[in-house]
Amino acid sequence: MIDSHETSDKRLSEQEKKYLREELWFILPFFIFSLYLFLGSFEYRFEASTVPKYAGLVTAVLTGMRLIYILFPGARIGEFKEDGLAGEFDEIQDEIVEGTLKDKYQKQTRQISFSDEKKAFIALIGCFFAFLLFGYLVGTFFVIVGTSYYYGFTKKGPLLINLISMYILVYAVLFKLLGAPEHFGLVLEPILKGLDLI
Amino acid sequence: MDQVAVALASIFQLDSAFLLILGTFIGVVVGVLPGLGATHAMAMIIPLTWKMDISPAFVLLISVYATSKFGGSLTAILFNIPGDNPNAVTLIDGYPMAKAGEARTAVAASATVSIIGGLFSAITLLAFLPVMYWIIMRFGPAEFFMLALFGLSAISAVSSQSIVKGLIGGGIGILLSTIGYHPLVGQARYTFGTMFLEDGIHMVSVILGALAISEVLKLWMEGSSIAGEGVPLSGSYKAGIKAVFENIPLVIRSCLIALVVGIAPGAGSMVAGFVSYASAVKTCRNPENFGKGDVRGVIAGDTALHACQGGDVLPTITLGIPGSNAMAILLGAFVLHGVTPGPQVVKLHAELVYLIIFTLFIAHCLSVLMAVSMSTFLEKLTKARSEIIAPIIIVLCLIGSYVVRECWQDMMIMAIFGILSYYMKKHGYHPIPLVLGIVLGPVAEFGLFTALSLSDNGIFIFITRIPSLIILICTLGVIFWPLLERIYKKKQSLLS
Repeated sequence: MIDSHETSDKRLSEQEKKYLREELWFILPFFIFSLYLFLGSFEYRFEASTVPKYAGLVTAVLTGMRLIYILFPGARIGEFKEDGLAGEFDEIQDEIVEGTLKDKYQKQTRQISFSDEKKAFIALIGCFFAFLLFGYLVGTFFVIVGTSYYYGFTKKGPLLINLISMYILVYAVLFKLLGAPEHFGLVLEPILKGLDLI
Repeated sequence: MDQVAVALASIFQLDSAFLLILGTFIGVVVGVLPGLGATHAMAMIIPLTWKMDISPAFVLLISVYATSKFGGSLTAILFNIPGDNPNAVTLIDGYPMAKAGEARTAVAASATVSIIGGLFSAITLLAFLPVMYWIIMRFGPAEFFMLALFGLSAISAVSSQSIVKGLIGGGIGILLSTIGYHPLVGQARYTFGTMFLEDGIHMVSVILGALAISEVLKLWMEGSSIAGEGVPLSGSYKAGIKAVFENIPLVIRSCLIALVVGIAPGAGSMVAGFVSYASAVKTCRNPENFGKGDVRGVIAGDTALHACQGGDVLPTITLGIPGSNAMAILLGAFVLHGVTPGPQVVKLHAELVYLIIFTLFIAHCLSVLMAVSMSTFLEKLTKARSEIIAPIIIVLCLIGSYVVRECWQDMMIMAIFGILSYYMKKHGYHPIPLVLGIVLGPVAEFGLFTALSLSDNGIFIFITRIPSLIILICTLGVIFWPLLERIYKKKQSLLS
């Protein structure tokens, strides 16, 4: 992570600019969302409009300032480098952790590339569609087997144990014991209904 | 006294007792899994409680919260792998002790201080509750609104890298909470004519996405980097227990440090553990032994980890201001079960507060018994790969977000917030203010309009009432702290 302190007093490198632009993934939707809610609040009654009006205005201004900084990194506006109490806690924590954990424990982390991120997002979206199309009783199978194979884990023993334990939890505990609603998804439900199975 | 009796009777009912054991088991297991902690376990558990009565639901949630730390300490001592980040303090002396053939001594010391920490947490809560009750009874809607505002700004200030980034998250959370019917006038807002949005965006989907799914994504991206070489359980349990009682002043000091750090919003058990350890190094005799397998290191760090839970829970259940991520989820659980978080909990559900206190202590004791007796099984769990763990969490989260309202859109919202929160964390925006905004937004809105409808002076009610004014000053202080600090420093430098 690049600290905003480091970026303030010097020209940003291409990599830093790229990192900053990544913020657009959520800052732009947040800006549009808050602006929309602020403008939309004018059509409601006083009681219903007050909170979205003021919260929308403040959030739109703050996200707008950040947007300016992302698009024009030379601008001081929207840099948001002040630490607040978080920075003080972080400093205390970092000082103590560095002093005490030195040479004792190194957390194993590796550089995460965009393709790693893309792969994980695809896996998550795949899981969502498995549940949407087949419901949770069948979707659980696709999620466990599918994501494991997608990430290259193909050992059948642990996978089988995982599947059995999840079915005990999902089917026996959640569905039967706790009475979770029936859900077979957009694809499976019409088929099962057509066959008079549900 | 009646409420205490009701709380105790609730815990020892068959279903609650079973859930207490189940929650303890889940807490210990999740604590052992590297990278996962109480926050993730509670996020996954919360949807499972949606059909339960409120008492058993909170027994389950609190037992998971209370016990995940000891599982993490066990793996830190035996494998040099902290189950969760705060457990890193245990391995400084715990692992060298285990390598020197004193693993049982370290485990016993950690287990004993875990029970003492749990007991201290319960006593803290019991001692402060009457004081908080006295204060809360003087609160009206104006103070409820101000408290919600203070909780949001305090968490924004302490959880994100920059206070403004925290405020952005909090603002988005509040805005999300305004979607759907207004609680007082019943007007539908921002629904685009869809039935799904009429009931608003459900906070469970946001909590699961922001806190659990974003971690799963990280788990997938970082891949498996688990399990070091284990150390066999050798040494004497008795020596560990004896060491704790020989260092009672150290235990008491660590408890007090933990209490102060625990109450501060956002500081959390990691800060408590390391501050307590650093204080032990500075004040104990023979400080050169610390880091080389000194049992006092395990005692100082682990006592604080467990004792700070009382300070963590206290502002959450009495004022609605969460001390940590896990407590933000607990606030969500209150809303899910129809209880308004904050002072109303103490006013209207005192028996629930006692239930939380007793569960906190009993779960600590149970977790020690469970973790020590299952150490061989837990050892195998530390070798679990992310490819196995991640789908389990995804399945539980997807089911959790679906079953609450039976809407597939909730699963989609969870996935969207999972990806959004991943990027937010990456860029120094912690998702906790967002979660808190969606939980406390309706509380603040309700408080605002109830206060205004009771007021003869319009918005001046917020400054003419003394408690409300004090909270307002605190809120402004938290937000403008960096500015005040800069002015003070400038003045100091001019003077010097």
